[in-house]
Amino acid sequence: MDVKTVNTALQLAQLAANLFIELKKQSGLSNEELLDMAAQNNAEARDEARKFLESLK
Amino acid sequence: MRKSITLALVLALTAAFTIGCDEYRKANRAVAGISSGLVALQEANQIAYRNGEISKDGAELIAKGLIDVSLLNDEAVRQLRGVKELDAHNIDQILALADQINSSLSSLQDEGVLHIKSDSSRQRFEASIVAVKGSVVILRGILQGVK
Repeated sequence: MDVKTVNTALQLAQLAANLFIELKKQSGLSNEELLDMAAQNNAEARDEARKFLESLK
Repeated sequence: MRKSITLALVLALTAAFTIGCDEYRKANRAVAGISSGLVALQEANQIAYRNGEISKDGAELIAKGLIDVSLLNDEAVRQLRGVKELDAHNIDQILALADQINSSLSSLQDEGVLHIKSDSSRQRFEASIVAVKGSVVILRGILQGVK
């Protein structure tokens, strides 16, 4: 197995682990809490992106 | 090939965790999945820029694209809050939003491929985009099933 294949496998394993944690976290939430979480994450992604754009000026 | 594996992984894991859920809950989980992915994508964008693996113009385009997608997903969240359950009469707007999110993510994917210089960063970025797209595929599938 070459280095590239190992890296790809490791990245996929990391992605699977992150997804598993994320989905496990979601499973205990009510519908309202899920939507709150989605709104908070959307706002966080937007805020981070805006701060980053500011820093590039 | 790698993208197909990533997408298959996302779909399989999400399907496993949504067995027994109603369609409304599955849709809520899908928009939550999209939003988590957007946070991770902006983080990946910033890391790539800090490491000198993406140009300033490329990083700017991706950040702006992420803001647009987050606003679209916010609107999907607002629509879902309003309906409380899904039926054939109330899903058209959410479906249209899912299509717009998908199309914006494809543009973001193209920007990343064009502007990220290192192979490993580009692969990481693409895998993250495909993971978010997996949640969009699930959302569209749920909505089309209701229709």
